[in-house]
Amino acid sequence: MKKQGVTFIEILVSLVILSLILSAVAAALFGGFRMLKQAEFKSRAMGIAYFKMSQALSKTYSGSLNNTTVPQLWTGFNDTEAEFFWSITATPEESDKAHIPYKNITVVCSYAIKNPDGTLDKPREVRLSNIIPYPYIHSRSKKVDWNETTGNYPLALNASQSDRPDPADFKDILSPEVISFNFEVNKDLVVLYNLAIEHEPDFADQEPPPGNQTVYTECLMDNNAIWGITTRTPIISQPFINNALVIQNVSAEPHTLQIRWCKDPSKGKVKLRSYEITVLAYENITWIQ
Amino acid sequence: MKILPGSNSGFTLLELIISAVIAVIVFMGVLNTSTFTCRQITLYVERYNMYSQIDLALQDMQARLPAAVEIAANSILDSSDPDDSKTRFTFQGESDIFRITPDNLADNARYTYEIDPANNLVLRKEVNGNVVTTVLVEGKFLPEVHFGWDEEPNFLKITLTARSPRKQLSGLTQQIAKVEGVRLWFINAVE
Repeated sequence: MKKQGVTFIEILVSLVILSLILSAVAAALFGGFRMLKQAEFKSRAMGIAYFKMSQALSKTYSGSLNNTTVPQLWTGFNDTEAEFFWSITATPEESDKAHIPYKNITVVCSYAIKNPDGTLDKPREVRLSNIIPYPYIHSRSKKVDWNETTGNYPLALNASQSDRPDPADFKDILSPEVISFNFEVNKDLVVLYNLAIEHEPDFADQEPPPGNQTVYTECLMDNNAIWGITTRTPIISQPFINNALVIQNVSAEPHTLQIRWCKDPSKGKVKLRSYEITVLAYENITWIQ
Repeated sequence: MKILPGSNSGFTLLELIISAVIAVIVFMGVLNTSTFTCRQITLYVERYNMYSQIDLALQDMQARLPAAVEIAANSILDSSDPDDSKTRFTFQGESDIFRITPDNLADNARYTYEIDPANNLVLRKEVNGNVVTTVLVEGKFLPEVHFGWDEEPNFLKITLTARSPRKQLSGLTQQIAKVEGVRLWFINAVE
């Protein structure tokens, strides 16, 4: 009878193959644990980066960063198993066609896992990028209320003047400071101003002012150009003067805005009780072809 | 007695013992593998629950906190201490988070995020004296929450951690930590 069996060599070869398979399985298993740990800390680093990006984006364009921060240690987790360092870089850039500025924000969070012996593993990093666009609308405003002792008395005109007073008769409302601005793109302005006035008649004339007594106001930009129209408002019927005017295509450079006024005619005095001036600046889109 | 031809098949006692030992080793390996796999699945499911609950809590805070119009005195943060944080945050906000009416206080609710005696992270919503409590993160995960601030007085930094009660597999951390930033629209969190 023929006896069948396995030779010693066959057993050895099968054992070697089995050990190779088992070692591959073990490597995959323990490698998987290591990958899990890496994923865990990568997730934390991403959370830190996302938090810092949210914080950067919550700031205004002018109030946001303009440079790169030094990498700083994150202490929020009280983590004993890894170290996290974050940094933010803000790079001012411009769009190609319209040259509208924006800030390119990059947040980098690097992390290194601590080994059992206390040393740090090779550092890795996650990176987030976003932009802070230049605001489409800007606004400037000034508001002043006067008390009895600081009334503002404009220069009076003679009643025989022509229908428009001389520029030298006008007095600045915004004094000493004007509304100044310097936007980085061309803007269209909407200037809104509200004046509250009070008429004080002369002692000899206690009557209210007649209907033809008026207050002139005008808006001046850069001290040499009058924008909009010179408005004329009756004193008797309108103690509040509200005007709005549009100034288009204001260039991207420093400008100042002033509101001036004067009274016609010379009798009595007009007090400026309060004023509120608002300038809304919209992005000028005439560059669109 | 006549011996039949070809009837020498069978196992010796030694072969039986050796095969039994090998079978035991194999079955032990299979048992360990299945136990290990079951434990892994349990841990992963628990970890998924922890992450889900933490995400839910942070999303809830993201939805309610921005429209806060008043912060309780014991929740206001100290401006002189950049590391100041609170573990309990009480504020007045919108009862309906989809209708933001900051000038109308009549439709507001009083919210409190805190850790209750059972270690649950809860949200208490009080409207006209009625208090509704919602558990955001279960106490078995030992959640911890810290409300702090970072650079800006109207920007809250919320750090939420949870810890698994089970011993983790090699490579997995016991603690899960997440941080979220919330910008308050109408009020500062710092005095």
